[in-house]
Amino acid sequence: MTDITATYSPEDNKLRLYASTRLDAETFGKVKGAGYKWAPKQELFVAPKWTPAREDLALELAGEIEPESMTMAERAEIKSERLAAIAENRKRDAETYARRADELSECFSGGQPILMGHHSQRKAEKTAEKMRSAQTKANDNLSAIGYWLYKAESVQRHANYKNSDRTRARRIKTLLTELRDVQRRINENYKALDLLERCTTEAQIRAFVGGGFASMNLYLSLSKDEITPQEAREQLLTAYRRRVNSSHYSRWTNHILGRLSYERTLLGRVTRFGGTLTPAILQTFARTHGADKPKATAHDGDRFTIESPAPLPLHIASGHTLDLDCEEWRDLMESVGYEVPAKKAGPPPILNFKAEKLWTKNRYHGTLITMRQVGMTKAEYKEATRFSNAWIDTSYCGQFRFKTVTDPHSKEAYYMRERVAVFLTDSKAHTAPEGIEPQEEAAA
Amino acid sequence: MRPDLYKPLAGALRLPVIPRRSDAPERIDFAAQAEPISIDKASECHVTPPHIAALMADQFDAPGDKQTLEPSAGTGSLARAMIEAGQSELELTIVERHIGLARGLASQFKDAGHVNRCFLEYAEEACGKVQFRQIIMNPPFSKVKAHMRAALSLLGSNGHGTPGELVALVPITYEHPDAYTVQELGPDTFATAKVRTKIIKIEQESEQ
Repeated sequence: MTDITATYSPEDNKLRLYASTRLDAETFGKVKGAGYKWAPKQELFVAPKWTPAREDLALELAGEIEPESMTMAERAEIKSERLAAIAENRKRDAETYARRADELSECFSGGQPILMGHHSQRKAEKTAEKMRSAQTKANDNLSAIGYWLYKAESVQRHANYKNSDRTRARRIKTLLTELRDVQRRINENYKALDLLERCTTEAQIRAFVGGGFASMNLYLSLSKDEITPQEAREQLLTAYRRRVNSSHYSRWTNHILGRLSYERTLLGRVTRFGGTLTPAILQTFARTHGADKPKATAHDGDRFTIESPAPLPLHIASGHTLDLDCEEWRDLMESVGYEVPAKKAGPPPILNFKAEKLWTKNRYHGTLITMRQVGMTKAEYKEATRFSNAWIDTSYCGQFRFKTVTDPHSKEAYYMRERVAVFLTDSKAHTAPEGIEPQEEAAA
Repeated sequence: MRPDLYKPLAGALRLPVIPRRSDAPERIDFAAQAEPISIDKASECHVTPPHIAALMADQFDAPGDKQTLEPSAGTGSLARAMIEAGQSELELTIVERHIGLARGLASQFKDAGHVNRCFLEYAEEACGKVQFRQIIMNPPFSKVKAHMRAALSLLGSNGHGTPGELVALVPITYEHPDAYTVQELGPDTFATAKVRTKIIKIEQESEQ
């Protein structure tokens, strides 16, 4: 009787089957069919990633799934040693071939040439060929040493890379994307079922089937009047209800949430949001976790409600809406491991103040550009920008931005006109910041 | 799956990396192992083994700055043994007919005199014009008598006041009235030919 142990490692999201003896043909076929692969060095079957079907098979064969006892780093250590041993073997082979080449070259060491036509020709040529072959093999093996040592080191580096914080942070983003993918399918099924339940007339059902919600077979059957619209509706209702009530997607969701919790545990504690909650923040939170077009509204001072056309993700709420106060929302975000992204620093403000000239940097090589300032009204500025490029430049000091335009008062040909800074005379004038003059300019 | 399966594992998550890439050895340069050249069997180039060549070089009274000839030098095994025994390379003349072998000799013995032609023709032309105090040779066995005759025509005291010396590796059947056998050699002397040979030495005052 084969004793099978099944393990799961959240570190690499792999299921493993350890069998005490060789599997019989039927079990082996099932294991291979589920996508498990035999790892000969480790003597186990490994599934490249978790799926509900692979989990079911593991449970069927082993009874229960246990936590994996060996980490990726420990496995990498063993593999690294194995690869280093291969490098050692290649080194030994290289030395053997080099020695052999040396021995064979002794036949020619005195400079004995190959005598063409002599009875010794064939033997001498074979000896020379053997010598060249041994030389080539010696160098091939020496090259292989570098390859295997590179692999041995890379295995260790790869294990560390997989466990680095930056990789873990990116993996969390990927997991959230997967979570949204699964949730999107759930939402689509709910919305399609809801729509189908409201489609009662023949025209509505035909439009539903033709709108991409049914299979091509059903569409063709309905088109050829092989089934009635009501029969098609019943078939579709059964199919969509089965999908909505299926545990398949909920298992995926729970698995991804489990992996997220593992990754977040190792990445560090989730910071509780201490800022002011806004509907936009809550909408982003709900959308990140897969809610369908969430709409957040504030009411009664510190309460917020989120509504969605499809049921909200189960780990957030049960139903289409969720109404909580600020602290409860903060608790929820912390419990599901959500951190409100820090607001990115925007560009410096666009200032309008009177000056003789302003300075900016060449956008490609950072050299100083000095611009004369020209005063004009908003109307003149608008007119000037009709036929010329106008853009906003960042000042050389980086504290502010200012408007620039091709000089509208110039009488030169268009392509020869200088670019000038703009001061809008009929707009609000700001206070000029301190220290805007570049040092090079001040020294001059 | 059970929630406890998503808990961190007990073992190490990171490991110290052992730098191994720099341990990779460089490729071996086999240039030192000579690539054999191919020549026609008519050249009868059977290289004298180094220990036999050394034995032959030891037969001369005192190698030094005496005019020395190696006819049909082949790969220069005998010339090398003479230089190792103390012979000056400047007083060494090497005759070899094969262009490939002659080129190899020229690169090995840069200070020696080189003649890239048939030794029999060379001897016929040089006879009476040049004399060598020492001749060391391993002649082609099929024309051993002609080569020995030609070599003896160039042998002489060359002003040293002592008889000229010729040491040759010849087939065991070769006979010469003035020659005495230094050593008889077995059939495994050469790598490419099974033939019984002997080392002989001839001393003569001047051309016979």
